[in-house]
Amino acid sequence: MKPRPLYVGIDLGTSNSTAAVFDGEELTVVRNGQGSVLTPSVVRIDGRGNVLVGARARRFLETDPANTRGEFKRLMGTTHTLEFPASGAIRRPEELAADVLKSLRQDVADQLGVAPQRAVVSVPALFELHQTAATSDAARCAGFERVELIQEPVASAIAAGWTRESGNGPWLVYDLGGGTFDVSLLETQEGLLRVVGHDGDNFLGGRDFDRALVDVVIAKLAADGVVIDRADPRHAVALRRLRLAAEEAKIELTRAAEAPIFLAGLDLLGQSVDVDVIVTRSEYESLIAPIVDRSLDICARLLAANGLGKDALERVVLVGGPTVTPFLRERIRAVLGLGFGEGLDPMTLVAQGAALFAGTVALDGRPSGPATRQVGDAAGPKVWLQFPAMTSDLSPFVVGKPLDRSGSVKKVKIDRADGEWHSDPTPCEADGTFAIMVRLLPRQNTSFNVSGELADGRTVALDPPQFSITHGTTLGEPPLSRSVGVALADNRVQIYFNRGSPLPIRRTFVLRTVETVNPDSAGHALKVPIVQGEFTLAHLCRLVGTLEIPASALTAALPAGADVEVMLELDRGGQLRARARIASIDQVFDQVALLVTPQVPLAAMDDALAKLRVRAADLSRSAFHGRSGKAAARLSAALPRLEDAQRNIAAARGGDLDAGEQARRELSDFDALLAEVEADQAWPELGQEIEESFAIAVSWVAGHGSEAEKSTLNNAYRACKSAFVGKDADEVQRQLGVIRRLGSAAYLRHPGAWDREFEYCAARVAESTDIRRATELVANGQEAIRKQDSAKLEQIVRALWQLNPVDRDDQKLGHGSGLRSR
Amino acid sequence: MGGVGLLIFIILFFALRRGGASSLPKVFWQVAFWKFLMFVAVLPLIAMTGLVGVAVLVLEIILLLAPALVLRWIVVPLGVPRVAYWGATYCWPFEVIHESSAGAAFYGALALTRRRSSRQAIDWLEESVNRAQPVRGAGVVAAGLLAALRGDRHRARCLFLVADGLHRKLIPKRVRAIARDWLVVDAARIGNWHEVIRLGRRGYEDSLRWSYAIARIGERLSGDPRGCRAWRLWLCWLVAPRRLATFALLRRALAVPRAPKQAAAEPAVAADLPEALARLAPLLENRYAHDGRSFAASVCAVDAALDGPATRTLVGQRLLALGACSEKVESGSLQDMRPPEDATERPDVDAVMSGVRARLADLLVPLIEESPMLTSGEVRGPILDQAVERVRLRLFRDIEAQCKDYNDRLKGETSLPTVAEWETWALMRDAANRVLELDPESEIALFHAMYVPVCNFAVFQHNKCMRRTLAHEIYSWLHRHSQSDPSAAQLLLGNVRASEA
Amino acid sequence: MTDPLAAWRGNPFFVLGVSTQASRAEVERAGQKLLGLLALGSASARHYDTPFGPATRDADSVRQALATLRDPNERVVHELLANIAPGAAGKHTDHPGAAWKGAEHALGWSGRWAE
Repeated sequence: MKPRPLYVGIDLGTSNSTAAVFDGEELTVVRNGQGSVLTPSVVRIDGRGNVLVGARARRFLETDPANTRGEFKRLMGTTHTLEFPASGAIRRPEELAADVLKSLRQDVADQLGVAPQRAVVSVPALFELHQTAATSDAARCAGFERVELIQEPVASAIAAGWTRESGNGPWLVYDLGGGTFDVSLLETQEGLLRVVGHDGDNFLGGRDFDRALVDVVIAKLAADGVVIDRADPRHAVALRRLRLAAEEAKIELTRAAEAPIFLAGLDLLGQSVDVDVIVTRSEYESLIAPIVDRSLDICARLLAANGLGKDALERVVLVGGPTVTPFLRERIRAVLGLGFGEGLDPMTLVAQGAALFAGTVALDGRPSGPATRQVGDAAGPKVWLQFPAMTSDLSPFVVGKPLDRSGSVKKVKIDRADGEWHSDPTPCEADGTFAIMVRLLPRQNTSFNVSGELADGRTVALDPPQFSITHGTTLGEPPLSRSVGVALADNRVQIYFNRGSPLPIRRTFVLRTVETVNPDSAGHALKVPIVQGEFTLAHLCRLVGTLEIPASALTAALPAGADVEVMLELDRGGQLRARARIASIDQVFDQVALLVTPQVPLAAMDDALAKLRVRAADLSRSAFHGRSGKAAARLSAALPRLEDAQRNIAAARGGDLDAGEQARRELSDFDALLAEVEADQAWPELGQEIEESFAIAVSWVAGHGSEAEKSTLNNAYRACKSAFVGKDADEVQRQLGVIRRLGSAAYLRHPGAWDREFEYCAARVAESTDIRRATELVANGQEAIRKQDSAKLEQIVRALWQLNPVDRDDQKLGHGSGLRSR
Repeated sequence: MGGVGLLIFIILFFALRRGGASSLPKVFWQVAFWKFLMFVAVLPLIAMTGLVGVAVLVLEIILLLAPALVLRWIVVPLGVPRVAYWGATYCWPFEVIHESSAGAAFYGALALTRRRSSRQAIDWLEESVNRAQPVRGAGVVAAGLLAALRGDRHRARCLFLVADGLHRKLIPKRVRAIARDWLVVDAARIGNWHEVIRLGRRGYEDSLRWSYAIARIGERLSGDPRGCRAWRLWLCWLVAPRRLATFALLRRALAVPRAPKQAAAEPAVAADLPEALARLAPLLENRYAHDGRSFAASVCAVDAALDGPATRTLVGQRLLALGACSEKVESGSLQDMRPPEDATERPDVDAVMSGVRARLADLLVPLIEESPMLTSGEVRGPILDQAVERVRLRLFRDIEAQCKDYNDRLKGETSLPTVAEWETWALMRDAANRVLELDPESEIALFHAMYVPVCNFAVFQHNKCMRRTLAHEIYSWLHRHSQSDPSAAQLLLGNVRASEA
Repeated sequence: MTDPLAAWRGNPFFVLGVSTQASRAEVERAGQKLLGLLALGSASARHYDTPFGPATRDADSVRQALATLRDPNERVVHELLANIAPGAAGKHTDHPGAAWKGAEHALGWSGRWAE
């Protein structure tokens, strides 16, 4: 009897990890060596180099924090490295994740007797490319030959849909984990499960509850005169102990109305302090209420983005440890007005869903070696079958192809194991394939027997002689969580893959170079930056990789406007491949560097924060003057975010790496908000600019312009106004350029104009690009004024204009991109 | 001997006069001297042997007096580029006397088109054009032939169009004939008879027999109302060269009845969407066979069918059947220059309609970009408008980016090799012509955008890089479109005259 | 030379070989069958017919077609574009104004250009 398939699903969480196994009929959650279903995602490397994973390592989190690390999930894909001083080891977060996965793999082997070769691992829905790539790497390091990734909300929905009849309305999956919050909107229609929208926050989780509790304790201690400072690295040890105690108190508060926090001998700069504080449930609830409300705001945002009201939801699925908090459940019930599914364990739901997904894609974890033949096995002609292991379609197709070259199998027949249904003998097509539509039994696993008819009419069983299909929800390909594209030189983004596109996916666009690239100019390179994000301005999106074409690698000079074909490809695991082909010199480049986000140094963040403050102040002022109340209101509502960011930067200075990442996120969100407000202001301002430029130009042209110029000016003004009404920004700028040029041409015919221009340029000699030459020209100019030589003065002023500093800021903004769109 | 010498001088004199008087003295004496020397050097050899000597003498005279004949009729059809190149370098064919090295490259490229071309040969010839000084019409045509050999038809087409439009002093008639030849064949190959007609219909001075004949045939084939009668077609065909090759085409043209003088206004047939689409599809494939008006008319028919009540109700029904959700709004997306749309509830039917229009516009954009003539109808529906707007935006962006590049390179005083510079200008000129064809009203904006950077760059090329023909071509093109700015027109006219000499 | 109808031939309904009235289940079933056949390397599954002539498909385009048809708005757009009255093809070469394909060979540009 062929052993049942082994579909393995793993939930790699921030604080805890779980593994689950599905064999086609039954779903089991795997218990680890300590008998628990949850394995803490903590790794310890002791002085001798031994690696400890799980609960045993977690015990040392308090006593030996330097060598015990947890919560490295958020750091995956970044360049942070973690040091273990006792053994001198330096590990990347992916390697620690690999250790956790190894331990889970061993647990499966212990429980079921075989170490799985393939598995499905869950990732948060909003994980970016470098983070998913790091997860795949970690799984491969752990010994898995092949790994598929699934988004956590999708996994939860599959698990929640498996045990109950599902209706036809949309579901909301509310996943509050230790470190991340994800909310997803899923739709099941005619048995097809579709992810309609994601939203969430990579930096909102149970840890924030802990932090809130710690804040309470710190406040209470401060009242007693004991000061613990978050930003002080010397207090880090004490803070950690407090955090662990807070976690336990938090769990206690789900059952009791109050919880004591008692820590003896807390070491504070040599002082030994005893902490004995009682936290009541109401205090705790009032603390976490803003956090919960933040999560509910995100839910509301997601619903609004998909045009749904709260009442449109059919079900809410809760996932994650912190969701057992009764207060949270009450709030959700109050706001969304829905009950939750019963009998679902929020802590292991994701792993169960991952295992079920493994069943859908037929990712059998059993090593595929030579199948041991037992006595009595029919060794019939081999046939290669393709069918969905799980589908919502009651009549799916089973296609196949006999593998023997002799062509002995002429017809193929499939019978249902219960004998109730038979297919007609189907002949093979010219290319050897056959397609048979089978009928499934609803909502269960159906087995089928395959037999073939030979040329001489004999019937033989084929190899494999049987297969089975489960009827349940179908899931489409994993969708992309964030849009991916190439940043362009004018700070726009050429979007390649929209959010929600199915993976794997590949697209090619033809872009053009912005400047001439000479092979002789050493060190110069043509950069193709690849970014991920929903913003239309490139500098706000996150850089996930750069394809660099060094000038020295070109065989010939590449003029501006040359075609460059850029191809981006994403596979199911989120691995990115990029390739650039330059047709005119027939060269191909595909070295993508930097698939890891660089660390933003703290000093740069302080700088950015200061600049944002200034910009925000300016914008508020102009909003006030312009009487645009909406913009002013938005700005003032968003200012507290800057304070949050400031606090996070301070905490990062104290050694909290997560806070640093969060600060970076907050700063770029605020930047995006400012850009949006600026853009809103800019359009009416542009209208004013048109009027002003026209007024100036008309005054000069009336005095010094010809008739033809006057009529040209009027035509240009009319075209400009119609373009403004039609909201065509490019055309407005173009016509504005015509108006300005006509105006300045007329102005320069004024007798004193060149003199005035000369004085203006002479005053700004210090800013020019070539100061020596500029001073020389100024001297010549003064000489020309003395001699009353206006033609020479004109020449000199034009030369001075050439030396004005060039505005290169735009190109820096587009991540230094050297390409533009067609 | 004296007679031959005198002949050489006379032919040389007239050839040089034709191409402009400035280079007369230096080149004249140089070439005359070498030719005479060649003649004298061979004389002792001839004097010795008898009949063979006479044959050699005759050959020598032909080589000295009409090397172009030898090159064209013997060397080029053999397909030996290096022999052609070196032969042209040392025999100084009179027609390319003003640009001897570029002319030699021209013959080399012409030879290369007759056989399987290798990349090395193409690169070698391109190098020689880059090294050549000066480069005039023959050099441009050589660059075009090399681009065509590389497979880049678009670039070749642009270069040949530039060559076709050069002043007649700058390009010999036979070289221009080659350029026009290629353009006509290229247009005929894809069935673009309008382009063929445009190329063949020129004033008396610039007209070439063969392209004229083909243009008349093309008129007949495309149902142009100006088509001439059968006897005139026969006459054109008889007079033009290459009768054998074009006979089949002539018969095809004669089979088509002559189109009436007034094109009958096609009545607008109200059709439903499937029929309108079915009529549009073959029109897209065969777009050159009709004039712009019928193309625009069929696109308008699709528009009308889309706006019809039947389609709208169908769409509404289908959306209900499929259970579509209401309007989606992208959160977190920024509008760069446009103000946010009002958040009014739009029925989904409009979203579907604009989706269909957008997809059809996608189909049309590459066609319109290739030949803007397709939009010459009076009525343009929303689909065509959308497509035209997108093409216009693209072309303008290309032009503006190229102007910016010119500016940057001018500041850095860097220049590309000759072939690349001509290609860059040819591509920009082509884009500008297309914009003007699509939307004649944007001439003023286009001129103002291009004038300063391009004119300054041309001055740089003229003064520092000694590329006078390129500068002349740029000035004359700018001058042709400078009606809106009289002072600029004057400046340009002065520049044109200065670079002509 | 651009092929003007290439995008139209890639209409999801043509790629999947289903009618515009097909139910969602039928669409998914057809897509799944094609993916299976393509995974087996079937040559006949690679070609399909459109009103404008034959075209080829691969696994990527089938997946893309399935994803496009799952969105109702997109599906209706493509339904409208796929519904074409018969007789759309086949009118090309007979037209007198059609291309003169032998131009290059006939006129001495022997057509050895690198295409």
